[in-house]
Amino acid sequence: MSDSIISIQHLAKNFGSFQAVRDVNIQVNRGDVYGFLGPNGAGKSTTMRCMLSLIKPDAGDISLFGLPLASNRTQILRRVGSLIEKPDFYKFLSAYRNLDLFSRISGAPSTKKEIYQMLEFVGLEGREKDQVGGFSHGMRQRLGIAQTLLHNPDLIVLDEPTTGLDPQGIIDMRNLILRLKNEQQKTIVFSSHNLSEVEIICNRMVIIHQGKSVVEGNVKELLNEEDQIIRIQTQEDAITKGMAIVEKYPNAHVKKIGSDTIEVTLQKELIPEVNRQLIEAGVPIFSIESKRKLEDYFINLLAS
Amino acid sequence: MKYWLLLCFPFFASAQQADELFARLTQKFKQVHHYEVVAQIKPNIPLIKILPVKANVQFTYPNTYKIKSAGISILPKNGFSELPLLFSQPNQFTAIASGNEVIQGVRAEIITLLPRANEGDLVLAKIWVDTQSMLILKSLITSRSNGTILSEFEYTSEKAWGLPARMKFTIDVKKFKIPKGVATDINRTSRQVDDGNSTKKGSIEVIFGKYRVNS
Amino acid sequence: MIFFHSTRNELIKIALKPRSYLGLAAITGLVGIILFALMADGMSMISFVTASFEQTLRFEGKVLNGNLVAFIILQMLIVHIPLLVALVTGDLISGEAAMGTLRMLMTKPITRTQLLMSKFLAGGIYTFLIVLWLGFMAVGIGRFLFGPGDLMVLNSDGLVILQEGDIIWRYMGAFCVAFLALLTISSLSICLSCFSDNSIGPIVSTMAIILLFTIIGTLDVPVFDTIRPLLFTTHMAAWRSFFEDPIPWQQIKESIGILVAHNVLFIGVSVLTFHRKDITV
Repeated sequence: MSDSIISIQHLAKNFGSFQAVRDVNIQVNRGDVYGFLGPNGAGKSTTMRCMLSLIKPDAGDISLFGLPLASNRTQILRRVGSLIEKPDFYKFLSAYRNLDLFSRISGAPSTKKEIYQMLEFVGLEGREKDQVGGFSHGMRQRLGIAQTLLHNPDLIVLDEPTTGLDPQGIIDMRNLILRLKNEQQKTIVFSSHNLSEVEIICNRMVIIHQGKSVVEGNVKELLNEEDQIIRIQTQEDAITKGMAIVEKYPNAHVKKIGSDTIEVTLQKELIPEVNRQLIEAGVPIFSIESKRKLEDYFINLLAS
Repeated sequence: MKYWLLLCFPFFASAQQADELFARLTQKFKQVHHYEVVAQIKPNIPLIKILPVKANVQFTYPNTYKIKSAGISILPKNGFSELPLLFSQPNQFTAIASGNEVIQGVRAEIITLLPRANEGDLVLAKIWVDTQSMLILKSLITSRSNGTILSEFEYTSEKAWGLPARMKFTIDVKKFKIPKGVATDINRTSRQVDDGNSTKKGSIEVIFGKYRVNS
Repeated sequence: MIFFHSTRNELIKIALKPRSYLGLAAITGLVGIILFALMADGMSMISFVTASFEQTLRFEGKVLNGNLVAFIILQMLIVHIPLLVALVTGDLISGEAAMGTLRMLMTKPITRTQLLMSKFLAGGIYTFLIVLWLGFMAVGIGRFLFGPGDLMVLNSDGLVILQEGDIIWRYMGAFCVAFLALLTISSLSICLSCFSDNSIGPIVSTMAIILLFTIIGTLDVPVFDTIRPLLFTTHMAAWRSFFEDPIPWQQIKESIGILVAHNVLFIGVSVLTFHRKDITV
């Protein structure tokens, strides 16, 4: 069986005179947690919609599970669970009834027990018979996830799944995605505005800008995860001494970014050693925090 | 329906003789106090399509009719009760002999009946009488409210009572109008053309059977 | 199997949507008002129709009966039922697009044609139920309250009096043709629904088309003579032909042909349009 789950080549889609997608190339493999990154209007959602045949592309090839989407749509969609844009449900129906309706056309209708279990899994137990019209955005998002997972798909496509969620909801969503990857070996594709989210969760990613896939690949490789950027906060009068200690390490780059803070780029495994050296030299450490590199990478990439 | 009389006078040419004939017809009419009969009503009227309908007719002297039909039946507004009315109020009419005419191969004397008062609804009545059998063969009754109705009578078994086996009313349909807006056929795909030759007369034939007279 | 499930889903949605009951409630209310009016003053209404005949003739028997009441109700309501049908069927695609559920549905392994046809079928079943309810209210309740009897129908070429035993099958035929006419409305509104992403547009458009075609159909102008027989609105009253004597079978067949052709056309256009539609909402 092929390990390629999604393969998109030279995807293009116009809406009238507007070129929403010009040349997107994507390769998602089995077990990937794949991030779609890009500013608003970059073409992320259009690409996802093309992947699910919501939109007919003007050009390009889309294959899922090794099969061309155009000629194997229903066969492919049986193995896909998706939540595009926002979770829209029939407001006049209950949570249970909504899931029942979607389940019946998913190719693998679920039993009442399975639906109740799924609602419990996403934290909606006790609300099964409530009308969705009365649900908060977070609850609808959970219901959306339930709808996505109910037929046990191999591929899960989520379009900005944490948008509109409260902090706890965002954490729950991240944990859920990681559980799906680690415990159920699902392949997950999701788009997000939140760069740190992608950096934390994804092993592969694509950055789409102005309808083009600008860069695609392994997150660690793209960000050079061997090196780490850390920020060290100390006393103002100890900062010169601290900088001198750190600069002795090979390939370390030190930069003073405040009266009491320095930013250091160095190998990840040297961070505990640097910390110990500073303390032994009498440099008080108020905090050491890791700075996410994707933000810089993203900004530099788009700027270039 | 009352068509009656069996007195045999050979010939009438004067008003007096007409009055006498009318009086004898009236006497004959009074012999029938009550009867019931099954009637089959067959209208043939332009602008109306209806299948023959069976009805039960009850008559009580002098001119009360009760008609019961299973469904809707159509009868002339004049014709049934007006003739008995003439015979039930003979003093209110003047009879005038108006010649004779051969009907169904029988020579019939024509009597014209004029109301003595001007206020009544009935304007003029003409009856054709078979003086041999003393039966009314034809009547033409004109009223203010209902226009003119021509009735023809045929007799068989109940001849003795003057009760007909068949009556045919001829009516004028010129006044029939279909109310516009009520009967709009929006599914008509072609415009209807009035050919100007539409029938102006209609008829209603009533065939009687199973008489039960004065029982 | 998915088509069956999808049709079931569509029926559940229709059944649980409050708007679906507007039609049934409206029919119940309107029929109730008409029945009350006929009970209170039905004979004067009949006299208005038969006035010119009653100068010379008299009608014996029960003229105001359940069959006539049913006919009057049908004649009065058949113009309004299309709105009640379009209110639900015009919303089947565009309403889902507006709610966003169309996007959710189309990510499932159901073909667009299957989804569309299940909506047509569900719309057809809803239309059938509306016709059935109208039939029950008009014929059932009408006969219950007014009793059976011969039916007197006033056509443009005169009065037709149909005997009691000859009526029920005519009503069945009439309801079948009326259903086909309303099914055409359902198909039209679903077809228009494929072009729109809001619920009101297709409903208003359906009524506008019915109005326009009806006006063209009733304008007695020779220039419209060629197109008039082709308009579906011209054949929406074909049910009435079952109450003529003799029944104009050829005319009924033509009407059925035109209505079926319109249904095929609307379904065809819908399939083509929906297949090409980008789900962007």
